[in-house]
Amino acid sequence: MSKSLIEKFRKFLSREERERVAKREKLHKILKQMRKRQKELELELAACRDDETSRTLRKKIRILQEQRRKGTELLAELRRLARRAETAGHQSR
Amino acid sequence: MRFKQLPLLLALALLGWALLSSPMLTEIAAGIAIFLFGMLVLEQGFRTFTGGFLESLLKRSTDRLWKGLAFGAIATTATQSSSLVSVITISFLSAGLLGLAQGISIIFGANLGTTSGAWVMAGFGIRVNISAYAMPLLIFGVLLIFNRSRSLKGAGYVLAGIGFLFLGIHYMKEGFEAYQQGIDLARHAVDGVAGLLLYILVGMVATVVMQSSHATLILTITALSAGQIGYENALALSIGANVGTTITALIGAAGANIAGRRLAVAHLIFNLTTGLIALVFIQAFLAAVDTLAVWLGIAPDNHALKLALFHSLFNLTGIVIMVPFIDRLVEQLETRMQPRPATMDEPKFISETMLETPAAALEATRRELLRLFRRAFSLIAKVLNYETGQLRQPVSKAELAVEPGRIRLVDVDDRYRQQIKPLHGLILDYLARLPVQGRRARQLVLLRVAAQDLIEAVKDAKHLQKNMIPSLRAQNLDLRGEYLTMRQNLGYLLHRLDRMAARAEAGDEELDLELELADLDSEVEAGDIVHNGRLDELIRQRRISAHQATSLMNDTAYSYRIAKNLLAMARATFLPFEDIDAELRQALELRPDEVREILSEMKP
Repeated sequence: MSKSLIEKFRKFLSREERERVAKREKLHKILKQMRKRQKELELELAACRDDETSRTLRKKIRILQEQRRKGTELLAELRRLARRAETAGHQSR
Repeated sequence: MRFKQLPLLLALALLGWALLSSPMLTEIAAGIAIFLFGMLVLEQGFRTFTGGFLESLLKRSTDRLWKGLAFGAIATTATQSSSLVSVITISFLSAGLLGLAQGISIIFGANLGTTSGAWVMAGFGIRVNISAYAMPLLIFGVLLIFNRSRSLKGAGYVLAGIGFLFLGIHYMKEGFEAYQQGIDLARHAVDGVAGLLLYILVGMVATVVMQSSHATLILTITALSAGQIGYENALALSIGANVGTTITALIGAAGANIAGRRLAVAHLIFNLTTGLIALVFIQAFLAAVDTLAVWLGIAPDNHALKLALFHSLFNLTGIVIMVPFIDRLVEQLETRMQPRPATMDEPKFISETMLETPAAALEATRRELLRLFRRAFSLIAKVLNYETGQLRQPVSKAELAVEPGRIRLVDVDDRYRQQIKPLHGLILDYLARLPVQGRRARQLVLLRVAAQDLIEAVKDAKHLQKNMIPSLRAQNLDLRGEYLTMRQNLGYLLHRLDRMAARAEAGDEELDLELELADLDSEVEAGDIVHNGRLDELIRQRRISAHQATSLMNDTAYSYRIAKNLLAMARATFLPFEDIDAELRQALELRPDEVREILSEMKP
C-alpha cells in the first residue's frame, strides 16, 4: 500500500481531520458567495443615483470586505493547521 | 382499587391459570416475553449505538420519494424496528425537518423493511439450533453493556437484544414442538372466508396486545413450521399483523402534534388498503407466491419461506398502488386534519415524543423560540407605541419617524406574565430534559442563551418605557427628538428582523443573514449617542439638563442592549442549526470596535 493511500485512510478515520476539512470547504464556499455578493453590490452602487441608498450600499460593501478579511485569515489558519497535522502524521511514522 | 383495573386483573388471572395448567403454553408465552424484551433491548441499542447517525441520514437522504422509501426499508431492515424508524420520522415531521410526503414514503418503506424479519426467521431461525447462538451473544452483549464507551455500550445492547430474540424464538419453537407431541392445533384450523377473517382478527389482536407485528409474524412462522397452524391461516395472520400494527402507531401518535397524527393516519390508510387488497386478491397472491417460489428455488412445502414471500409481496403491491396517490393523500390529510389553534401557554412545535430524537427536538425548540420572538416583537412594538401591523408591513425608516398619535403606557409585567413567561418556561423546561451530548449540547446552550437574550430585551423594554413615555411628550424639543429617534431606530430594527425571520422561514436562498445582521449591527452602533458624541454635544450646548442627560444616557443603554440582544437571538435562531455554520458565523461576526471603525470611515 502506498504512503498516500495510508495517509488518505488515516484522514478518513480521524474525526477531527474530517471536521477540519468540512469546515475549510464550507468557509471557502462562504467566501466565494461573499465575493459574488460584493460584486453585485458594487454594480448596484455604480448604477445608484440616490445618496441615502449609495451610503447604505457603500457601508454594506465595507462590512463584506471586513467579513471577507476575517474569513480569509481564518482559512489561512485552517490550512496552516492542516499542514501541521500532516507533517506530524509523517513524522510519527 | 379502581373498577377500571378489573378487566386487566381478570385477564392476568386467566393467563396465570392457563400457564399453570399448561407447561407448553408457559414455554411459548415465556418465549414471546423474552422475544419482546429482546426487541426493546435491541431498540435501546440502536438508539445508543447510532448516536444520531440515523437522524443525520434521515435529514440528508429523504429529499426524493424513492430515497424516503429506500431509507424506510433499509433502516427498518438494519434495526429490525419499524417503531424506532416511525418515532424518528414523526419527530422530524413534527419539527418541520421533513415534509408529510417524505414522511409517508419513509413509513411505506418501513412497512416493506419490516418483512425482512420474516425472511430471516423463515430462512434461518427455524432451521438451526438458534439457542446455541443466543448464549454467546448474551454473554458478550452484557459484558459490553458494562463498558463506559457509548458506542461499545450500544453495541452491547444490540448483541444482547439479538441474543434475547434468539432465546425467545428458541422457547417458542420448543413450546410448539411440545404441543405437536400432545395436541394438534391444526385440527382446529378454520377454512374458507370465515377462517381468513377469523385469523386476520386474531393477528390484529395479537399485534395490539404484543405491540409488535414482528412478534406476531415470528410466532406465526414458528407455529407454521411446527405444523400447528395451516398455511392459509398463517397468511391471514400476517395480514392481521399488518393492520394491527397501525393501531400501535395511532396510540404512539396521540402524544405527537398534528404532523405526527397525519402521518399515523396515512400509515393506517396504507395498511388498511394493503390488507384489503391482500384479502380480496388472496388467490392471485397465492398463485404469484407459488410462481415466484419456483423462480427463487423455494421448495413447494416450505410454507415458512412462502409466508415471508407473501408478506413482502403484498406490502410491495401496496407501495406500488399507493405511491402515485401520495400527493393526493397529503392534500386530503392537510385539508381534513387541521391543527387546533394553540393557546398562549401551549407549545406549538415541541412535544414529549420528540425528546427521544434530539436533532428534531432542538429544531422544534428553535421554531418555538421564533414564536416567542414574535410575541416579544409585539410587546416591544407596543412599548414603542407602534402598531404591530405597522412594523410587519413594508415600511421605510423615515416613515417610522412620525410621532405617535396617542401615547399609551403598556403594562409590560402583565403582558410578560401572560404572553411570554409561560412559553419561555416551557422552552426552558424542555431544554433541561433533552438528553444531549457533544455538538448537540453546544446547540442547546445556544438556544438557551437566545431565549435569555429575548427575555432580557423584553425586560429592558420595560425599563425604557418608564422614561420614554414622558419624554415623548416633553416640552424640550431636543429631548423629545432624541427619544423619537431612539423609538424610530428600535422600530426599524424590529421591522427588519421580522422581515428576515419571515424570509428565513420561507427558505429564501437570497437572504444573506450575516450581512443583514452586520448591517443592522452597524445601524445600532451608529445610533448609539454615547459613542457617536451626540450626547456630549447636547450637554455642552445646554440643550438638555444634567438630569435629562442622565436619563437619556440610561435609556440609550437600554435601547442599545435591546437591539444587541435581539440581534444575538436572531443569529442563533433565524436559520436551522448547522454546527460548522454556527462556528463560522461566530468567527465572521464583526466586533463593535470593528463596526465603529467602518462607521468612522464612512463619515463625510
